[in-house]
Amino acid sequence: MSENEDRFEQYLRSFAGPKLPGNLLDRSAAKARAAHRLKRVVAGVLAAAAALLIAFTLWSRGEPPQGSGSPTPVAKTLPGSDADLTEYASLQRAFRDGGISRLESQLDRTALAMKAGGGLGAQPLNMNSIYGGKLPFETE
Amino acid sequence: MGEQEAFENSGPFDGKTLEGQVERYGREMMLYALTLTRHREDAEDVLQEALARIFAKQPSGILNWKAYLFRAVRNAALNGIRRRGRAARREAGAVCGFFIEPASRQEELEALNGALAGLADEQREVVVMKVWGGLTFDQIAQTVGIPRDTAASRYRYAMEALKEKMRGFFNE
Repeated sequence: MSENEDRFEQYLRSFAGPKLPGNLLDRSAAKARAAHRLKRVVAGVLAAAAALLIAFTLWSRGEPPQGSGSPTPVAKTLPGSDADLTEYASLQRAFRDGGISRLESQLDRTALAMKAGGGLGAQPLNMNSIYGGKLPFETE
Repeated sequence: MGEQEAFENSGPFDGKTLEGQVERYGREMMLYALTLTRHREDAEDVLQEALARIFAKQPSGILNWKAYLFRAVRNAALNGIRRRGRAARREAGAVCGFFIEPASRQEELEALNGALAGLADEQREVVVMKVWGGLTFDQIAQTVGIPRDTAASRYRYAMEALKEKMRGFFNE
């Protein structure tokens, strides 16, 4: 910087702007404290709202589904399931061991068990009504 | 001074230290806020906002308080302008004088206020930071976010314009 520029800078520095307001620092500190308090209050409200939301979500999950209720099971066991295969094996064994009478009584027991379980066997199976009094494998 | 050194922290925050620095550089901060807002009340709002942020942030320590305070004032001023549309009020003509002392040189004061107001905003900002703020070009460049050479050229143009306007008062 040349000497002339330096002198001009010195000249400019002889002018001064307004002073700071006397209580500006105190007002700034008070403003910072107020902002801090507000932040804490907002954080508290948000935390409470989040807790309420979580509590409501958990509570609503514990309620039974609204509307027509849970669907009634249409069968105690699904075809091909382990239980179904067990029943089929027991019927085969009953026919092999005791003939048609044993099979009929086994079928009745199975129907009663299904009825008790609320499945398809609401009524005991009546072989006569199904096959006109004769089983398909029964000879004339 | 390197760019990273201008605002580097070096010690814990101390409210008493801030108070002392504000007492020391308060007038420069006020002039800089006036330069950015061109309105007395807005300038005070900006300073209050800047200091409140420093109180809230409690920076762990400042190597160069003057540069740090100038940057805080600038950030607060820019935020205020964005938020409240201070530029609109400035356009409405609510412009104050930058300098009020020495009152005995009223004619020079008016000439200097007029000369400073006539500068482009970016030139006025740099010249106030350099002449009355006492910041280096590195600190100005970092505060404003411009290259050092740009800060230096803005300063030169501003000084030439001011010298021209103040020719009747300043004898070369």
